Amino acid sequence: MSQATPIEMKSLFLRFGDNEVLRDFSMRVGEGEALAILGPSGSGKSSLLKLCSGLLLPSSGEVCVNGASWDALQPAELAERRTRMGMLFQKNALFDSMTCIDNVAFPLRLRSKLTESEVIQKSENYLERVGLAHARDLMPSEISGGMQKRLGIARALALDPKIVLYDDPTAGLDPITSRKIVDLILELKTRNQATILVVTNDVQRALQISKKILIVFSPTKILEFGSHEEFLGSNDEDVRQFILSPLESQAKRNLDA
Amino acid sequence: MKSASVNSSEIRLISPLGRLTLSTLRQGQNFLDFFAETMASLIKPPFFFHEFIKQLHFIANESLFIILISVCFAAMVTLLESSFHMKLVIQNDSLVPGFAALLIIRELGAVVTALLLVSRVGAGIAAEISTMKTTEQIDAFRMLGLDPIVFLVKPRLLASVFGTVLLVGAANVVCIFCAMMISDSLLGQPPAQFLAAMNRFIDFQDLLFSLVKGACFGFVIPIVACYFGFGCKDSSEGVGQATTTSVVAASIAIIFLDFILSYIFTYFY
Repeated sequence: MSQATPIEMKSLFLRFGDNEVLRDFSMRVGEGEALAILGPSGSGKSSLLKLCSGLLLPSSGEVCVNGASWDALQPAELAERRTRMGMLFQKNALFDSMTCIDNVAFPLRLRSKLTESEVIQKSENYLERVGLAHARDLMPSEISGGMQKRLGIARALALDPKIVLYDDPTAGLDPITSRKIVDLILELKTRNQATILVVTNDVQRALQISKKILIVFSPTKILEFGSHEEFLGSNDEDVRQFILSPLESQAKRNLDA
Repeated sequence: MKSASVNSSEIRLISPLGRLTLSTLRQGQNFLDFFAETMASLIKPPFFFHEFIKQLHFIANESLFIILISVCFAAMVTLLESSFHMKLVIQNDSLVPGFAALLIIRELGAVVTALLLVSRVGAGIAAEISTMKTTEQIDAFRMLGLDPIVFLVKPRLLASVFGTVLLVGAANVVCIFCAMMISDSLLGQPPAQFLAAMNRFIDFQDLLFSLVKGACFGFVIPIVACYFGFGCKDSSEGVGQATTTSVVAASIAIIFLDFILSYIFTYFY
């Protein structure tokens, strides 16, 4: 029996007042696949993730997750289905009144049937996996930006979701920490056999995450590439600029130095 | 025939008025939607008891000292001013304790407590919720299948209603005690005389109405604060704006509601 596609978007339109974000956009992400979503700031990448999670509903069109359209679901059913997805938010969205371990334990206490000792054990395991075992009793405000990202990842994965959405997981991080975060995302993806969507501005990290790349420029210009070769060899002027601009700026920095 | 033409200066005058009307109507509709959702949440499981206790501690316990100190001075001023004016007008202040006690129970205790709670609790809730919104914590709750109204608004609302009733009760007792002390020391009317006057002027329903007022004010404070918190713009300026607006709106709502309730209560005497 064939399984339902984890994420499918059909003829989506999204508008905020007069501002059009998406026009007739369709895509699908298969089971266990990774998709990197690139694009300049403000092009609607985060909105795409929020559409996938049902936090945002399209102006028209359909978003199906595991075969069910968000539109057709009752609020309670929608809420229940959301719990099967994990999401790392752009601003981490850590619960600032809870310690690190409570941030990870909160979804488990709420949504799993585990006993308190099992919850604590599982939360500690996740903290250990993301390298935060030593920070279990610290508050989110007491740890660094990179650690907050890792904590956000641990919380997003606490319920072992099969679909995980990462909104700019490397934003504001140095290249070394960024690479470590992406390595962690890929390691956890393999371990949980999850489908992942990762929004990023960083071409290098996008290439590291996935073969399949979606690049969002404007409501009418969203390009999908099935392989790195196809993406890097694109003749589209905007894509060339997007790929080359980090290299150019690096070259300029080298020249200046 | 004179053609009907509207010149640009008239348009400039009218259009802001139109925009203001439309935005007020929109705000009103949004508030009613939020209010209806909150009411529905009251009968919707789950009930986060731990969150309720935490909020009750913040609202009642942590506000107790500030409220008691403030109402204590408010009661003293009421008594002194009443005495001064009664002496001025009818050259006799023997009715002051009774009137002051009545004013304290029916008005002062509840209103002063509520206005202090607006600035402490209302501002706190609005700032907390709006910060949660700007840092995407509310979306994170939704991702965990939690209705933010059930998780955030419901415990705050119930804790505020319960906490305000308790605080109004405590404020009334302290107010009366302070008024009695002042009456004894400055007006020369001993506590026995004060209590006798109080007994003559105050009915059980006065106490009841005072607590009903407390419950209504306790209901308004978190509803208004959460509404502005949820509607906050995604910026630090937005957080400040939401907090300020919620304090202003809740204060006006309390004063207006006080008038409505006082008017309704007159039918019960």
